Amino acid sequence: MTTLTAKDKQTVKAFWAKVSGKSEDIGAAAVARMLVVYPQTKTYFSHWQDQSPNSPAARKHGKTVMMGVGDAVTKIDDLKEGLKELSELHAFTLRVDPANFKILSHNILVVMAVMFPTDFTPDVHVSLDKFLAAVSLALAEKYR
Amino acid sequence: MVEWTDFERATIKDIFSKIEYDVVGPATLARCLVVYPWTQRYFGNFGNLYNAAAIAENAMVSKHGITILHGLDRAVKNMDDIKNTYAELSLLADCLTIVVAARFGNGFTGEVQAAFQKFLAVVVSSLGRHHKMVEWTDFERDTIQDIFSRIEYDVVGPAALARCLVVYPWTQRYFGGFGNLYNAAAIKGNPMVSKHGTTILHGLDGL
Repeated sequence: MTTLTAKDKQTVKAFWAKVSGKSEDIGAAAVARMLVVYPQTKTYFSHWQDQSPNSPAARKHGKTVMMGVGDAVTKIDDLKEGLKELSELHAFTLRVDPANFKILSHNILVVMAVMFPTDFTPDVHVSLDKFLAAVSLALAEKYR
Repeated sequence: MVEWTDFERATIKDIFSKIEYDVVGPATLARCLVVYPWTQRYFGNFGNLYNAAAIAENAMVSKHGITILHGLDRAVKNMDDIKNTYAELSLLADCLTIVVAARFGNGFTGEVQAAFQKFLAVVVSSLGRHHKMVEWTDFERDTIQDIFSRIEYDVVGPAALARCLVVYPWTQRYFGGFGNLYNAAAIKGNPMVSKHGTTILHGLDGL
């Protein structure tokens, strides 16, 4: 899509530094929201015994996702290269439809608004939105 | 996809180029409120709508009539793309969701988010095509009423529109006459943005 400007990268890194301490909660909340608001996404988790939004499996998955996001922040200067293996994982093993990346990104943004209402200003919002879109693109890189 | 003949295209553009918006808009809305008086239920806060004369002279009716007519401008300019033109409204819906989430905090649960997003999706979709009958659960109804009864319109409306203009800057193309939209601070302080944001939010009232 678009390149991240220097300002975007700076904004994302600064915001992430503020919120990364809560990354597990953020991840759990985002995944929970996704399962409730977009129930079609539950199809990817049919192997979970407990598919409810606040189940231990869902929480764990939220943690996993946010660890990936945190990792992407450190690789913000070359997401395509940095997320190569994650892309292969999503493409060949998980086979998640890339349309769902947008859904999870949206829910991460909603959670940021809920948990950090004063810090999640419009300027932060736009940079984070662009960043998550860039991450999604990098994750889809190996699909075809 | 709708097919338009050359005659139809020319006719639509011709009509809209010839009408005086600030006469036709108010007259249209006023007529609607007189001829179909039950539509007055959507304008409870407009003041005196007691008879045709009062309606014709009501400043809020006039203003809203103009607003509505301008709402068709985009469709006129983009006759082949009416659906996608109004799809930009889904960006605004996203921003409104974010702003409401920020205000309600943990009260904005996943279930509440689902009801709110469904509501906005139906509004956006209804603006693009004929209105469909939608089923609502009691929870969804109660949630929507609750949210709208608690938000301060003149804070949330402006914040949502301002956020939309910052996060999706291409939407600024619809606000060429609004003055300084140069950066987030300018957008936030822009009184036309604030006013329009409040107007939009009130536009959801009647639904």
